[in-house]
Amino acid sequence: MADPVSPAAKARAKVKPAAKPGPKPLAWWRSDLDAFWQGFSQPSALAFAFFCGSAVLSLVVCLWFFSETTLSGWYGRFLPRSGLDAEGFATRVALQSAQEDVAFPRLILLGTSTVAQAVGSGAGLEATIREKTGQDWRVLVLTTPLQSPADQFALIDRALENQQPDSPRVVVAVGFGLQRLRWSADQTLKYAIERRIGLRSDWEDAEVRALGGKPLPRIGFYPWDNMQFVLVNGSEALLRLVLNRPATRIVDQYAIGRKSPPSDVLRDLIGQGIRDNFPDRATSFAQIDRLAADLATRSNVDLVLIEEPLSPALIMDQKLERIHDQLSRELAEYAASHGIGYWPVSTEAQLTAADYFDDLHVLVGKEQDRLRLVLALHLVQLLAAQESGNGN
Amino acid sequence: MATEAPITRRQRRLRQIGAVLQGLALGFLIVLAGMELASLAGGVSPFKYQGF
Repeated sequence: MADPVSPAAKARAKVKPAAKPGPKPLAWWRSDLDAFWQGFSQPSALAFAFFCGSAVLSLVVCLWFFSETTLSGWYGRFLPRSGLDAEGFATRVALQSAQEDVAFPRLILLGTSTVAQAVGSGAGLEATIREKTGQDWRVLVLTTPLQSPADQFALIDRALENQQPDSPRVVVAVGFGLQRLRWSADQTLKYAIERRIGLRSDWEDAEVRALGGKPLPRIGFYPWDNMQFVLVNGSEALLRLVLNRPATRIVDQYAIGRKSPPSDVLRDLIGQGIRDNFPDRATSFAQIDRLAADLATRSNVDLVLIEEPLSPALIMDQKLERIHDQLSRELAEYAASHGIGYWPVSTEAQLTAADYFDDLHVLVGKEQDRLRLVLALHLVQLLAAQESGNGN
Repeated sequence: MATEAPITRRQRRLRQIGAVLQGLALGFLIVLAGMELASLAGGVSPFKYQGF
């Protein structure tokens, strides 16, 4: 029997229904990225294993990094948290100074932000000294904000560890002025506990004892002995290390931005601190006595006191003229009687209130140049006096 | 029930790389975060968070 289906119907039956449109295949890079993102964003056994390994490795790197050997070497440049981290830079410079072969005479500056701002970068002072003395000196800026006398013992002790009888001369310049009077024994001991600087030192411990305190225990393991410093600097240092981004120091960072009117509260606080502690200034002089005695145990080292620049506006506002004049006189007498240099750089540079950014910090530029020049001239005098055998 | 499309060998490798990077990054960051939290909780320095 013949097929009853017509040829037209057969042809219609052959035509398949149109396929439903499916999802378009992803571009190859989209699917690759998708696969990577799934691995990166979802928890997995593999990710956990590497998490544990990475955490352990990071801790090991942290322990390796925070050792005096590492910090004084090439990797130590990653220590400072930022260009403003004066404590990190001072720690690094002191450790580095203790390790390297000394080929040049050194001028080591100790003091607060006031001294740092007055001198600016060590390179500027080095150039001025070269111009005035014809000698290449290395300037080590070991200043830190609110630097306590105890910090100074630690910094200079460690920085001069490699000073030998045949080493080139070192001049240690310590900022001294009205502000120093605020460092009573109690205040010094309070800050000594904070371990803002990553250094431990026998001299500092002895100083803490001399002030009636008890030095923090030491076991000779850097991260433990300097735990607070490591915690403060650790994360930034490791991040800088991994990203290969060392910070560049800005020494004169305290006069950046717009000049603002002085704060009455701050002025009163500073003035009150100076007035309260002026009668007890023997404590500050005794600290210098002990520092001089410690430095006398190292060869070719001279100690000088440099006057910390303080705005005349602050002195007038707080009526500190009499205290200022008396302290300057006593400092000069003390220095002369103890064979210590006293360089009244601020007075000699004839700075006026207009030369200051605020009460404690001079402006960047020609004001600093004047102070550097006076400092360099004093150094010339010191060298000339020593050459002629007259001592300080 | 939806089934996942089979992935290629290359995509499997990329997923592994992603997992490795995730582990490495988190392991590193947890150490940094630990130190930050410890310094914050202990108030170890009045200077750390003052404009730095």
